[in-house]
Amino acid sequence: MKTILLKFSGPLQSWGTTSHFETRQTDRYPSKSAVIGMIAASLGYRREETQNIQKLNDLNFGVRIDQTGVSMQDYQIAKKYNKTGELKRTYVTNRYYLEDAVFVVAVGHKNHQFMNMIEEGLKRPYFQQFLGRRSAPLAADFFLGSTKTDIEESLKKIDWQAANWYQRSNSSTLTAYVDSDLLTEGSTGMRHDRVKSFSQRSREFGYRGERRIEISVNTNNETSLDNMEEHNAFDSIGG
Amino acid sequence: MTNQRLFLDIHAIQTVPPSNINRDDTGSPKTAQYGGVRRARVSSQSWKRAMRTYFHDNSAETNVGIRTLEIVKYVAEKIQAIDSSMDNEEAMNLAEKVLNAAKIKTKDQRAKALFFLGDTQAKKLAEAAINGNEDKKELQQILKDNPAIDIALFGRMVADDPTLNEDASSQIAHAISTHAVQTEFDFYTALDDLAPEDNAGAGMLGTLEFNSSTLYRYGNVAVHELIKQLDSKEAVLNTLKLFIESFSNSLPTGKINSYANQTLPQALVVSLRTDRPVNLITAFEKPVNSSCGNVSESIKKLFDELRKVEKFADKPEFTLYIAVDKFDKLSEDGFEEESLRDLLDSFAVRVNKLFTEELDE
Repeated sequence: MKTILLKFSGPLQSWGTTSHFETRQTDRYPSKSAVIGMIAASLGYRREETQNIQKLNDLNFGVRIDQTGVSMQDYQIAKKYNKTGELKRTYVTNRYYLEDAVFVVAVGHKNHQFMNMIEEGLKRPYFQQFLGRRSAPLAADFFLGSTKTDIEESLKKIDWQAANWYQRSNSSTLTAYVDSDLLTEGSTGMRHDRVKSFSQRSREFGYRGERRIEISVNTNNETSLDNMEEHNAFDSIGG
Repeated sequence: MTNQRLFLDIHAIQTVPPSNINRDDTGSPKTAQYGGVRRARVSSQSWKRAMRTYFHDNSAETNVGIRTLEIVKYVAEKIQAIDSSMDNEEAMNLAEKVLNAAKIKTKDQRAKALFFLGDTQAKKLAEAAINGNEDKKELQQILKDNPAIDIALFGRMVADDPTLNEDASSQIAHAISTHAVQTEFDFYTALDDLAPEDNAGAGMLGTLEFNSSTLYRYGNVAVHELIKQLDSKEAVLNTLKLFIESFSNSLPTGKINSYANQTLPQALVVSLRTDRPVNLITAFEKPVNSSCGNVSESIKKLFDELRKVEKFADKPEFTLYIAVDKFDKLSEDGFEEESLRDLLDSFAVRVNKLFTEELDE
């Protein structure tokens, strides 16, 4: 078993699983399909490479909400012109984002070779990676490391990644969502989040089950880049 | 060069005085929370529009293409560049013929609507014209294989026809302030010039919202992908130079007549990386909190972060920068240039070298 842990942080993120047309919602935490999209982009897969992309559904997946973030609505217009250059109509779109959120995302598989390929891709991506929207790039410190333990164990062991100001005023019991077949405990739900195709002609998703669990984490943590030299996030895991 | 990665990173620190360049549906300046405090924000799509406008205005001069009605003349010039013996009329007729064969309609030797023709597209059409190629499919393929530079860079989304969508090779982040801001309200009144003398009231009153900020701006280009899209190193280099220039010199125009907030960056940092693009926003998670201006502190923090991220990413191939202030340590992290012009020249020399060394396989 090899599990890769990623930190998603930054001013803006957006993780939609139910949006259509001009209102683009965000969920409160990243979707597996978005992370699969990020991995596929990192590996240089094109949208039409459906077989390669679908294979990434086999990854075990979990996400922990380290800093909940704030919901934001972004108002955007786009103008459509006729071939003759006259204005045809103005689209108003409302896009929703999470501001100032931090997540730990875990992806794993028993095939180390497969995981090594993904790790290499994430570190040296072919296409740019982003947090749900192209305009929200990853931060430099997104790659937390890898472990030999499973998703649940890895998410339980890794230190709280929230900023210090957040840790001071929030509970250290965090919520995590993990592929439902990996756990026996925890409440279950379905998400429209299983990748069938990213093709521009027909994006398609199926359903995927996930379980919700609570995790208590260590609070004595400094997460900014300033402290990375002294602090090794993986001391406690031994991965 | 299938496994080759080459990313252009561009960062800017830019102060915008009282202004409202990008606002929401209620007229308030856009904001975002980061590091627990509210920041000024300029959306990526707003600044990208300013960049694209800059592209349209300047792409002919930098030889990356042209948006014009005069496409016949443009192709005719390329024909004459290849075959100098041809006179104007002959070249114009030949150009019109090849454009029409590609099913681009013309009237009086002009396009019917503004048409973007890339430098590479025009050259290839000129070659095809000289060779007497009239195959509709092949000519249209020339236009398809060499997408307009701005579409290659910034992408295209056509709601009605997804097959025309093109994924962008650039990525532009929302700009946010390096420090906390509060939106302020400017209360104003307007007087009625013809109001009676005993009328003490104003003719109209209202408020304008604004803030002032020192912004961190970030963008990148997947150069290896742009090379694939444009299929010409010369075109790629010219496009990257224009990209840097437009990133630096463009500004969204929202409420610009009310505030005259015409500024340019105080620092511009350009890096070329072979592993991954690197966004330095983390430098400002802890907001800058200075009693006398945010610019110097922001520039310092940016360069500190540039060094710190080497724990995660490889050292860049090179870093070029311009900064309005002199800081002793900056020169350890990159090569200082005197002006944007110098930076672009130096960039061209270095990238050319890199192209010959690493990409000629």
